[in-house]
Amino acid sequence: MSVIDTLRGTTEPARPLALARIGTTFAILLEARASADSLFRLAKPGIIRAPYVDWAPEVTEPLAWVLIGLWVISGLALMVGWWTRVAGAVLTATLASVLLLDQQLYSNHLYLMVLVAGLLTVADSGAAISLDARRQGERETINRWPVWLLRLQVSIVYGFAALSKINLTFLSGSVVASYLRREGPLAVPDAWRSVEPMMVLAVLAILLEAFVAVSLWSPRWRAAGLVAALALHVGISGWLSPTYQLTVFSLLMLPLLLVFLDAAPGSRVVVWDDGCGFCATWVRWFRRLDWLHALRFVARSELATSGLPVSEEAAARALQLVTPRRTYAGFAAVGRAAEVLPISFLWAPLLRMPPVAAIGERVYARVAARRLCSVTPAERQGVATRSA
Amino acid sequence: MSGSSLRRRFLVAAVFAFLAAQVVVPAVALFGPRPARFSWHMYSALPPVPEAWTVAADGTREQVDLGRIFAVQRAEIDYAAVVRAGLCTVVDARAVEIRQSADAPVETITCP
Repeated sequence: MSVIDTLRGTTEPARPLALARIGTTFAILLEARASADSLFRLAKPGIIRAPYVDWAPEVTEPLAWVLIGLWVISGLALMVGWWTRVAGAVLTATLASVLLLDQQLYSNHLYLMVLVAGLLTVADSGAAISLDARRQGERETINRWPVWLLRLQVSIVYGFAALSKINLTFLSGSVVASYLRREGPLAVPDAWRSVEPMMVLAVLAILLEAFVAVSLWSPRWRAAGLVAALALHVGISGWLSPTYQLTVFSLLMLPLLLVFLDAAPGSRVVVWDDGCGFCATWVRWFRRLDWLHALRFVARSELATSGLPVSEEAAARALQLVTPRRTYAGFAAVGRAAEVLPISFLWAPLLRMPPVAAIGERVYARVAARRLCSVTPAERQGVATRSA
Repeated sequence: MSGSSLRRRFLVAAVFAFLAAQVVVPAVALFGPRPARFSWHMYSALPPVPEAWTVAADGTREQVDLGRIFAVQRAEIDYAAVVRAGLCTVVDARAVEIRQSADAPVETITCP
């Protein structure tokens, strides 16, 4: 039995990929602006052409309008999940056409967009959080193999980006020095571009990219890998130029990291004290932000029938989070719950680190001791209904 | 062979072809000059700065502003090949000269 047969027989939660679809397509739409500039400039008289093959069609203004029109329309359709597979196929074909029309239109992130749009199409990324899902009913799971290919693609990009930088020119720090921003509030003064700090930055960049490529596959190191990816992208978008292209690249890559999350529906149980208004507020926010549906909510009053390994006393003392591996309490529970929320999964692992964890526990304990333990029946009913 | 078996074989072949392309192309490019296309060589090297000149009928040389005649200047482009193929069509000259980078030799192309 081949690897694909094994992967074909298994499934993945649909929501992480659906959110990745929305995020990456947003980045693809942003890229349309930059590619439109290049296409229309290429259509101007007096501009030299560099087609890959002689029979490639000449870039004209009408052709540029058609390509950008298809790009934007199919991109919007894919983002909202309307005729998702058709939209994805059209977008993939359009991006590939732009990429291959002329050597001047090539960029690594446009190439990555072709691959990502293709994989999102094959992976049935419209199964959830889409107009298609609203029309036909949302599915909880999708085939694993295209998601696995998407994960592999992410690692390939980071891995080969790291390997290609292992050369004397890059390690000397001269590449980093020449691309650091020279304008704006984050500009790096020339005096700081000396050899030693630039060499350190160069080595750090290689190590970060290599670490992200590998760590995302390890349950033990994944959280650190997500934080490293965030640091890498904040760093390159903030301090390197060209800012717009690098920001688009970051907006393309970061949502893709959602597909590495271990966030099966209802896989983490939040046990909360429904006699406490403060806790009800926290739970309400978790519920609103749990777009992956990874959290299940059990109130203290329902604990006896839940079969969870949490006592009523523990639930009264602090918020509890029950995962397949262990149970967390208080600030640790808040942090671990935040690790499966799409708005916080990249930075929430930082809450585990000293001294953040120690300070957080202390603040949580102080707030828990002084909390206003009175919840209105309407509040209790409201959260309980959404928890069902 | 049944339809589903054929479909399964096609799927396995397509996935392995995709994987092979995604791994082999960048792996091979690691042994070539940087940056190379389809290989994720982002910011891996300093791009060469090409220069070009037109040579008029009276022999006078004038530097060409490549930023004006290229839509986008990319480090992966073989400027000598592109200029050889197309510069004569966008400038009025007897010949054009191109140097891919500061340490490369100057190549002269006679315009038809």
